[in-house]
Amino acid sequence: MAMKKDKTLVSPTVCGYHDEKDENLIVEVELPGVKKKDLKLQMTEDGFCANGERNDFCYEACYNFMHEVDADKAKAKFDSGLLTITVPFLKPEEPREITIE
Amino acid sequence: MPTWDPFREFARMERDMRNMFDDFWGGRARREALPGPGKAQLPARREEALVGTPTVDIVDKKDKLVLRSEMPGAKKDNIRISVEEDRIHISGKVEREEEEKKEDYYYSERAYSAWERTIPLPVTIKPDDVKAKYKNGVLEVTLPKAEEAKAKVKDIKIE
Repeated sequence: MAMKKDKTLVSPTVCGYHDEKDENLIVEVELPGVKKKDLKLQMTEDGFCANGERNDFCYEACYNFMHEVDADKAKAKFDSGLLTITVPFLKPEEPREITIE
Repeated sequence: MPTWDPFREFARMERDMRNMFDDFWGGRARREALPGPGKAQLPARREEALVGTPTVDIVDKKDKLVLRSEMPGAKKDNIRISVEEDRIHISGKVEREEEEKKEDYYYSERAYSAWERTIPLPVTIKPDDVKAKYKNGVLEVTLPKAEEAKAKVKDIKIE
């Protein structure tokens, strides 16, 4: 991803969690000071890259996921500098119960 | 008063270190694993947003002071600003409500936290002319300086 100028790259604060039914992955990225038009989000089955340019520096975050997601069905909204991505998991989780000896 | 949370301090330190390295090496192309719930490295919730006090920058712009504070994901109605001639008070609250309906049982859990800061200003300002806006997660407050506080530049003629 090319930057318009040589701006410092900064890691934004990120967090990720499952929704209650373990069906969707929700990722939150803090990108204050970025306008929606300067925000770029790309996603694959196993990760995402978010890029936001502001006046003084550029936010960049690239992360892998622990479980595969259906990137085509990802929904993203950007509100008050907070990017929220909701994407369903590709396969439902099948945790195996381990018997403790 | 926010209670001191050692894990939040470590998370912040780690983030600052990471930013320092990013600045030095000019960015990174490698990907980091985003842990699922239960892993300790990254928070599963934006704890910073719930508990942390936002950082504030104040810039001197000749006839006014401009205060900027980054608080992504906040709601305008939850932020309070008040000013006096020589100081500014900012406070905010974050409310999170989780509701769960299980058959006849209705249960609600609310997470509430508040923060407050009073910042003394380097010069006196005009409280009546103060303007504030919250856009893209950044709070910006413009504080016009009082007449007597404006720098008076006098050109000296060399005889």
